[in-house]
Amino acid sequence: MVMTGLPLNIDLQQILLHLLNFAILVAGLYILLYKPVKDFMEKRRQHYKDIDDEAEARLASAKEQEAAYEKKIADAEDEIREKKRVASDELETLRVNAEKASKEKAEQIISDAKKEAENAKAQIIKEAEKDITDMVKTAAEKIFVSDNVNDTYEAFLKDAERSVKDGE
Amino acid sequence: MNKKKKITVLLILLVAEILIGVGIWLTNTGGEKHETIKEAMRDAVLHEENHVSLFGIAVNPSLIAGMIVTAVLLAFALIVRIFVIPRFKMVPGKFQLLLEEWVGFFEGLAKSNSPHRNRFLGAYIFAAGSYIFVGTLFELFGFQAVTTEGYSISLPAPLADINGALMMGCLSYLVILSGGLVQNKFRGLLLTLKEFSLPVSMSFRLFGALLSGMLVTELIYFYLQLSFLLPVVVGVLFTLLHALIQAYVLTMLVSMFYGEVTEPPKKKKKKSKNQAEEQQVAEAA
Repeated sequence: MVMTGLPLNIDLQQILLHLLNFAILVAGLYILLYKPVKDFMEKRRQHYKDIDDEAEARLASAKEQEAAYEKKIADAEDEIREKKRVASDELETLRVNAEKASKEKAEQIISDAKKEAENAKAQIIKEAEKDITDMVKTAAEKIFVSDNVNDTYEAFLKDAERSVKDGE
Repeated sequence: MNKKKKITVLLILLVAEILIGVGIWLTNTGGEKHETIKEAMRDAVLHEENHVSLFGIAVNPSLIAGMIVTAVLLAFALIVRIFVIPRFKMVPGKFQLLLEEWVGFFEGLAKSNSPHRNRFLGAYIFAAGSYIFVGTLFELFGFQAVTTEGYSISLPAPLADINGALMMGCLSYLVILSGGLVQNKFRGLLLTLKEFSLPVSMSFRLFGALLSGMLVTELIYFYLQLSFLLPVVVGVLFTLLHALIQAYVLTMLVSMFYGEVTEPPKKKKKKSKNQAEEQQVAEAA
C-alpha cells in the first residue's frame, strides 16, 4: 500500500508523469495532425476565395463593359435621334423652299400668261381695227365706184356686221 | 432471406446460446479473484493496491493507459501525416472529411469562444478532447497489465485516476492563465485568479465522471450473472456517451474561460459636457 500523505492518494510524481505524457501528445498531435490539416483547410479556403475573388472581379469587369456598351448604345441612339432631327429640319426647309419656288413659278406663269393674253388681245383689236379700217376703206371705194348707192350701202353694212362677227 | 432461412438462423443462435449458458453453468467456479468487490471499488478510487511498474517506478495503471493512448494517437497521427495528408484532395473523401471535421470542430470551438486569441487554444483543446475521448473509449478494450504483485488487471481510462484528472484540470487552468497573462497582462492574470476554483472543479468533474463509469463497468463485470446483455448498454453505450460528453465539456469550458480572460478591455467613451448636461436634465425630468 502506497500512502503519499495527500488525500485520495494524490501523487505529485505521477501528476508530472501524466503531464509529460500529455505534453508529448499535445506537441505530437499539433505537429503531425492539427497543423497540417488546418494548413490544408486554410489553403483550400484561400484557393476557393481566390476563385471567388477572380469571379467577382470578372463579374465587375463584365458589368463595367455592359455599362460602357449601354452608354455607347445610348449615345448612338442620341446621335441617331439628333441626325434624324437635323435631316427632318433640312427636309422641312427643302419642302418650304420648293413650295415657295413652285408658288413663285406659278405666279410667274400666270403673270406671263396674263401678259401674253393682253398682248394677244391688243394685237387682235389692233388687227380688227385695221381690218375695219380696210373694210371701211374698201367699202368707201366701192361706194364711190358703184352707182347703186343703196346696194353699196347695204353691202357695206353687211360687210361691217360680218367683220364685227368675225372679229369677236 | 426467406422465412424458412430466418427460422433456421434463429434456431441455430438459440441452440448456441443454450450451449454457451450450459457451459458457463458447468464451469462456473466463481473465478479466481484476488480481491472482493469492495476492495476492487476502493482500489479504483484510491489506487492503493494495484500498481504497475514503469521503469522501476510503481505507478497507477491509469498512467500506463495514458501512455498507451498517447502512443496510439501519435502512431495514428504519424500514419495519417505520412500516408494520408499528402494525398488530400480539394474535394474531400470520407476519411479526409472525418479528419477535417475533427480538426475543424476544435478550431471552430476555439475561434467562436475566443475570437481574440485562439491559435494555441485550438491546438490544446484538440489534443485534450482527443485524449479524453480516446482515453475514455480505451477502457472498453480491456487491455491487460500485470501489477507489481503479479496479478492481471484491466487497464482503466487514463483520466479515471485522480492524478491524471488533476493534471488535466490544472494544466487547463494554466493554459487559461497564460492566455490571459499574454493577452491582457495583469488584468488577464486577475481575471484568471478570480476563477480560482476552476482547476479543482474541472479536475474533479473529469475524475468523477470517468470514475463513475469505470465503477459501474467494474461492478457489472465483477459478477458473471450481470455480464450478459447489460454491458452492451452500461459498458459500450454509456462509455461512448460520457466519452463524448466529457471531451466536449472540458474543451468547451477551457475555450470559454480562455476567451473570457483574453478579451480586450472595452474602452469607455468619455461623455462630452453637453451629453452629461442632457443626461442630467433627462434624469431630473
